[in-house]
Amino acid sequence: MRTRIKELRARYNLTQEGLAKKVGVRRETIVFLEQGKYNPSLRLAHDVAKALKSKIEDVFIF
Amino acid sequence: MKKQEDGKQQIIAVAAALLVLLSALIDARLSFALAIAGLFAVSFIMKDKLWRQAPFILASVLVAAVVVVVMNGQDALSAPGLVMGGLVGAAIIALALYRRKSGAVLNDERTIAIHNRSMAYSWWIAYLMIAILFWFDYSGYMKLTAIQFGGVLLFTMLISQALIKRYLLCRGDSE
Repeated sequence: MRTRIKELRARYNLTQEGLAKKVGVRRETIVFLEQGKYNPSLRLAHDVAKALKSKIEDVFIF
Repeated sequence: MKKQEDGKQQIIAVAAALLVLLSALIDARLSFALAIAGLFAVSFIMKDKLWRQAPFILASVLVAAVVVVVMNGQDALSAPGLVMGGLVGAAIIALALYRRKSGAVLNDERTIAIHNRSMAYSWWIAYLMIAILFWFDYSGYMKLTAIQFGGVLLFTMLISQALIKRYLLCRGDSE
């Protein structure tokens, strides 16, 4: 799975720590999400997409 | 709201520890039985939130254990295991309070999944250890007392869970 989290994060000037705080997870989880090494729950995917003002399918690419 | 809930649960944990302590005035065995029953009761009341309160409960019980020894008129220094337990308990309380105060997210969905997975693995390793120790004892290769048997299992579970958790945390997906 690929993600556009890093790109969208840069667009909205968000740090990994900032995004992690927004969605209520640890920074490490965001790191692994960005690397495509972690499959998030639907809830987390929704929260991340919402924090990045995007749709889930635009953030997570299968 | 969440803070209020946390406070309530901590009060329950402290009340349970106090009950154990008071029961020690009557009988040490009763206090031990109450401690075990209290742990089950608290885990039932807290349901899915036990994992957040577990260090606090454990620490309360450990500290209570030291006080029980002292109140029973025994020399606490003659029970180094309990004294050590009390110190570990106090350290756990301090660490839990410090981490909670820092406001960082300690457990998210990934760490909870990893924790559960490492627990499952450590149970499996402990099961293998039981089988190995049983056959060693049965074949007469080595004779173990119940205390030794329990001790080996206790440390096998603790150490294997910690190592597996560390390994899984370094890896990407917990699946």
